[in-house]
Amino acid sequence: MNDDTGTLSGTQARDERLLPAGLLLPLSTIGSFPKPDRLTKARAGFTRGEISAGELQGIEREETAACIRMQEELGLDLLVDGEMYRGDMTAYFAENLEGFRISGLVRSYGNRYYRKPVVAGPVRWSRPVTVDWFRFAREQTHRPVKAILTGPYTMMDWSFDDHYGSREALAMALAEVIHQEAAALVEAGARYVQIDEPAVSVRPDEIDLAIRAMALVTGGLRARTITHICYGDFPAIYPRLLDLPVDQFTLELSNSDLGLLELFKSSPFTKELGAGVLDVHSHKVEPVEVVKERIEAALAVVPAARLYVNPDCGLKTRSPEEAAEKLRNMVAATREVRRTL
Amino acid sequence: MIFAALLSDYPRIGDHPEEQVLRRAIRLADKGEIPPAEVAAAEDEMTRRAIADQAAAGLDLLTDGQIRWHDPVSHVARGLAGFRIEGLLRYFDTNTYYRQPAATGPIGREKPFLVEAYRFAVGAAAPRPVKAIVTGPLTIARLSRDASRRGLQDLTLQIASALNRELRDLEAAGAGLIQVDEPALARFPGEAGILRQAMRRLVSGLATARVLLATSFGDATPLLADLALMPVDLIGLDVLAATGGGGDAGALGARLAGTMPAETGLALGIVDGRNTRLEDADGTYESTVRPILQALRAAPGPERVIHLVTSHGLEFLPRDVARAKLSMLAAVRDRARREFP
Repeated sequence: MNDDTGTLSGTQARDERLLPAGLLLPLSTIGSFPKPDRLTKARAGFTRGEISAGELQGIEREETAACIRMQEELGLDLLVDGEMYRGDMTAYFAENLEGFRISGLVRSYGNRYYRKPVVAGPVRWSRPVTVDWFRFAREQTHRPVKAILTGPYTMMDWSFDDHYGSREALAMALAEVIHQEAAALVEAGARYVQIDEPAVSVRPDEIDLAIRAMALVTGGLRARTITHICYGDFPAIYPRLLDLPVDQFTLELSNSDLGLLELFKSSPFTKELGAGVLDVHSHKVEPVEVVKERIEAALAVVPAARLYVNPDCGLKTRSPEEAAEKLRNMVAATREVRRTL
Repeated sequence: MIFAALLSDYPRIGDHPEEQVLRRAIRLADKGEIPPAEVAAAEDEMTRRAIADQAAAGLDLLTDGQIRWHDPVSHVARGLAGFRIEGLLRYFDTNTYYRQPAATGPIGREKPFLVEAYRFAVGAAAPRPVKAIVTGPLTIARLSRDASRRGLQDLTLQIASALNRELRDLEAAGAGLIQVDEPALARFPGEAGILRQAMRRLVSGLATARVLLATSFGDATPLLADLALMPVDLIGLDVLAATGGGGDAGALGARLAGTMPAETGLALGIVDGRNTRLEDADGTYESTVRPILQALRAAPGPERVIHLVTSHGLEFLPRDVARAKLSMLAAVRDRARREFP
């Protein structure tokens, strides 16, 4: 970890974009964007062997570029690549790291299913997984791009284990692997690295393991580190949660009717907060006024200098139109609140 | 007598297109392209497949796989009066979700909501018997939002009274064994007293049906003294959680023999329902099942009814693994019957 005033030893040529100094309430997202129909069809066509990997990647690149353009047009400050080339957040990394195989379909919830990874041997990092996509995304914009990885605790908890036989051993092995990926991203110029750990809120008794694993991932990284956690038993892990060695937490506030903010009144939230102000599991587009109220409620708990604004979670479950409309209101609301600061 | 059974739920999807009819039907119905009746037909189809897999593995006592259940909590709450179904929450320490019910009004039950599905399963499973399954009052109360602040005890008892009507209707429909799932008990052991009161209400008036109180999601054996007082015919325990996979199963058997009334049957969760690693039938039998059965048989009194079951439902597993686990369970049962005729 490092703060933004720290000096970096890299060469002048390295592109290490930061958010503008003094920008209040930076606008960002959690990472995933809805996949347009043509991409969904192309992925299905690739699975059936009807189009080549090259053709699929061409479409993924076009849609990544379009996603970046949309984020710029909407007025977001810290962009993401939109994850057009990723399916499930665990399976994507499992497919690209050594030691995994992919299982048959397993239900996630409702009518959603995914192929849950199986750890079948020692996990290893042999080459960068996301660095080329990070570079590609950055070439599409002048704004900073946040790199997104899935964290070791979540990778462990959301995989079957046929090899390690110990949750701790698997989580720590994954932490080393994910640290290597994060370091490669920083080497490529990433100054904002988000390591998603949605599973951390689920087993309060394992919060210490999650913290140790995260320490291995973020240790020595010269970047602003962020983690995203959602849907779980926060009262059981707060304020211990704040010991996760990252600079910022992006959390879902809206799905729980801002209940988390009440919790933060019990013990001060001492890190940066990426406040989730859009419920990503609802088709309803929140009016600007509602989003404003949510931002203002977050400001009552965390000072503006430490507050970022984002949706609750990834937007991939929404339609492209819903996502854009929700984000448009998020930007408008944030701008209105900024004027009052 | 020694029986083999699936604990509760079963995958509602598989890797073959004909095993994906339900996912397809729900997707099309969501878009308004097919009527809801076609979703019901797809549920029937996948229920038949779940039953066929259990029969093919040679299980003695089948379940309907809970194919029609959105999740273990909201499916039951939807059938009762006084609940409103709200947002998604993580279901225990899994990466699946349930819709959280909010207890808003007086809890009641107007008409049967499990009976029709039970009758369908009986028809599909004949001549093998089917156990009816209902999520228990403590778990429903614990995982709901107590919107009108009546307190856990009152809410649990009200739910128990409402569910009592469902159990009576299941008995009238011919259910010889009704399983009450209480996954919350191992998590909240302090509430065993509330559960005991609730169970009395729940089973009140039953004449012929036997009741199995099934615990899961943790080790409930610290509660054996409380479980021994439950007004039920069988108690279900996750033996893998109790022995840590390699603990002293003989000592557990002796504790069971010493604490559980001689006429109380046991459902022993001996196959891991949450991981893909396929256990060896002989290894499981020798390390876990035989020592428990030896200890139970060594105790005086009548021969106990034993169900060898999976430690959880198998919905968390891919279908091919679920099938293999059922076959392995049947193989353990076969050895147990040979050695303990």
